[in-house]
Amino acid sequence: MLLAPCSGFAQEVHKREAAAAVLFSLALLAAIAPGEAQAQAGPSVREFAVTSEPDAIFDLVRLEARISELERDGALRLLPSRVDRHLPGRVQQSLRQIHRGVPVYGGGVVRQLRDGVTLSVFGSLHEDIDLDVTPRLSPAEALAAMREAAGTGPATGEPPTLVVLPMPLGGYVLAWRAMMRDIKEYFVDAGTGEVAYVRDAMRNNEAVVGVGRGVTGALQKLSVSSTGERFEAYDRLRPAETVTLDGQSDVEVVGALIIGPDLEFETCTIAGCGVEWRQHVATDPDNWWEDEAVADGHAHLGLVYDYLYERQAWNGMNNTGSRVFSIVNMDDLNAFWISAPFGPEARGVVAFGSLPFGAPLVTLDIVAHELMHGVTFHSVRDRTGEPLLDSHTGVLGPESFSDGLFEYRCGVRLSRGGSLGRVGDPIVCRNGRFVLLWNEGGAINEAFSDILGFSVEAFVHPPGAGKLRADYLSGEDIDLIVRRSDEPASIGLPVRDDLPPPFGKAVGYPDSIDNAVRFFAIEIEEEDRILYLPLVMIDGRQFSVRSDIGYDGVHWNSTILSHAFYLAVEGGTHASSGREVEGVGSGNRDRIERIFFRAMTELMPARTTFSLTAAVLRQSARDLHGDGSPAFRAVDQALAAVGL
Amino acid sequence: MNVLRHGLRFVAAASIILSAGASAAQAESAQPGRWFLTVGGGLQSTSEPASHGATFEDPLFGSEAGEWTADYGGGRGEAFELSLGFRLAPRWGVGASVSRLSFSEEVEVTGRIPHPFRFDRMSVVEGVGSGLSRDETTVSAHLMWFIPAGRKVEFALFAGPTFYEAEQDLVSGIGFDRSYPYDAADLRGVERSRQSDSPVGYNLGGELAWYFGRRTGVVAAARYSRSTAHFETAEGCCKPVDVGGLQTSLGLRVRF
Repeated sequence: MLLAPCSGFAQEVHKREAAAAVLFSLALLAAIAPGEAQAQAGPSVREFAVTSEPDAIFDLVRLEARISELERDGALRLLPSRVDRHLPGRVQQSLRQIHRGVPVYGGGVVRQLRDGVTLSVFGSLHEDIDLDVTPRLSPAEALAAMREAAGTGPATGEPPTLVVLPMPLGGYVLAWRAMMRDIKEYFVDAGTGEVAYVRDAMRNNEAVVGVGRGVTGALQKLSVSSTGERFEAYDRLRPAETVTLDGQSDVEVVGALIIGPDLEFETCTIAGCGVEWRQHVATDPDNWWEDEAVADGHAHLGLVYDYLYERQAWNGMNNTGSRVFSIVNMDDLNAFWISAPFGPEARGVVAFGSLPFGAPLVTLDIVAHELMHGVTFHSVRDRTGEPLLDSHTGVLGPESFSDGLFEYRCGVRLSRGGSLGRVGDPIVCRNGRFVLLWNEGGAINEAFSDILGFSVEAFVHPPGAGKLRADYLSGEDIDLIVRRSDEPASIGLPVRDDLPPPFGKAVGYPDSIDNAVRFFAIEIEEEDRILYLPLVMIDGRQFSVRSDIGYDGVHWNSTILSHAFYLAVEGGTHASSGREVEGVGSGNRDRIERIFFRAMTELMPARTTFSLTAAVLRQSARDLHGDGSPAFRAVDQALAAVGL
Repeated sequence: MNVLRHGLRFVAAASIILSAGASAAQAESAQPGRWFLTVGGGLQSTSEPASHGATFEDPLFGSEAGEWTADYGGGRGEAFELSLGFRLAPRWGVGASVSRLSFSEEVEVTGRIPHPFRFDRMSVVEGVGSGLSRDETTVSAHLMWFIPAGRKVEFALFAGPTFYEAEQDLVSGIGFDRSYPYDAADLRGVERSRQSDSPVGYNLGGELAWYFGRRTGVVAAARYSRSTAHFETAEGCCKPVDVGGLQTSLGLRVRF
């Protein structure tokens, strides 16, 4: 259950959440085979996860030839190469898919070279694109359509740009894209002027409800600045400055700090003349910080920075040493990352609310989680041109299901509206079977954020159970265990308590791809859109009704990958598969941490899936430690244990 | 300085009285006079100040305190001495001397520096501070007992009070360098403060004089002197520090 939203921009999110309204536009994939896979339904998208292993060497040679051909034809455009931060002699390249001069959204591959020789290629290429790239709408007309849809103006002074947008049910749309001040990126059909896709620039932590006894009471050290008259939560002791802004529970202040000026009425850019963030730096008169949100938030922001810098050689949010911002005392029951171009200096910002009547959401793992979203965003976008995208994929589900009252078969249309959608909308079916959908990219994004939370806890705290201990729980320091990756199934998904079992029954977080949470969805035919329903199939067989769709279930399904991380470190027997995993042991956890971090920041393509991510992780382990190493074996076994 | 001044006055007064008596005696005899003046130098070993240390605060420590300890090396220094004596009787005499000791010593410093971001994570710094000087000026008075050992050789034992003017460089703080991620620090140097005290102590010792001429000879002496000075340290007032020590010297003596 979600609490009532308190802020304007959050309200949009919660409305969307409550209405179970998710737009997506990427391919529906039934299954992905190792190496190269073809989608079963939807537009033709071909995924690549090819490495230089002996049994794949010919695939790699063929793929290289194909990439060269596409590059020659202008269908792939090489972005600036980057020297690998961890391995000397390695170069990371990103090739963006181009259709007649226009980028294809999410299309492209990332290629790793050693001394000029290709080691691995990961990514997706959209095929059979036959699209005229001459827009009928001008950029100004597109912007007007976006403004009407968003109810507000553009976030930056940049004009909309063209993109080829793959559609969920097949085909492609030439679209104008631009970021608007409602913290969403709009894609408007350049032919019709219709909104074809909306991407939420806010990456939420899980909504949290109701319990907690406040912060731990532990003393924190804060690196601050003195003005002579007061102290500011402005850290100048680290290579990059970290700044904690005080939202003062004021919706307008927080909104202005996040969104910046309204360009329709101001002529300057966000970076140039936005809200003066310096006026909102958290302060204290005597350097004994009474505000728990500021104390924890600022200290933890610095400690997460330290972990990234010291353990992963990553400097700040975007690895350039730019100033890192967070906002605390936000009047919201949530914590989130909002991507660039938002935030005080247009590089994104993390923001933290609090539990109702309780603790601020600024525990070490929560701060690390949100900051990792920023790292993920910047690292993938800077390499590939796109951030890590939501990738909605699907499998064919049952021919029928029952909600206890009725038996539903393919072709059925909603008889009730409200939170489920509109009356008459058909539930998505293909070939006589319901299509079960999930947001793999979003879940992977969340998993990496949780993993950073565990890693930073291990960096700061001694191992153990309870508060201020390094563990695999999220939120435990404020008695809010929202997930645990050591035993995912021991935490139940949000329950709809107005329904009897089995519909409202407790279902644990998944620990394997085999018990992933996948959604039924409705198809809004005239808009070529699909919306998730809070009707899920847990293990391909078990039907359940949830209280909401939980941000596409991305937090729910994140435990598949974060559990693999846990197994790779600690080892053990996977609960549902019974597979044994030889972990590297907590004393060597830095190896696994580095493998995962490198996978995201060096190798991951913008559009990914669980199987593609598994291939990237194995390559990362291979790159860093070699095939026969305990670290590779741990990662390989852990991924296999969770079904990857 | 007061004690030293009093000591010097004591020596001056004694010299005037004794010189008056000496003039009268010399007029009576062509034998070497009863006065003897010795100029010499040698080495003096010293006791070192006991280890001391302090806690200290810094704007980057948060609520934690840093700490340091200093271990002084002590050692030996060169001493210069001028003494004047008067033979009151064949076996007895009195004397007074002024000596000056000066040397430079090293100090081993260990510090613990709090981390700016984390509690209970100290960086340890170690190093050696050098050039800490120690100066002692003493005025000693003593009663002498002569033991002839032949026509040209004479032993003497002596004892009496010593007035000290002691000055010592003490470590008052440490300087350190460190940079992000602040897990280690280097000792940049030690801060020092000059402390002084004027205690009164004693001296005792013996000498062997060999007269190669009628009035002149050489003297080898060993003197042990001791007192306790009290210096103000970074921990507060006052830290007792032993002054004086064993001095061995060689000098030239003139009898007149």
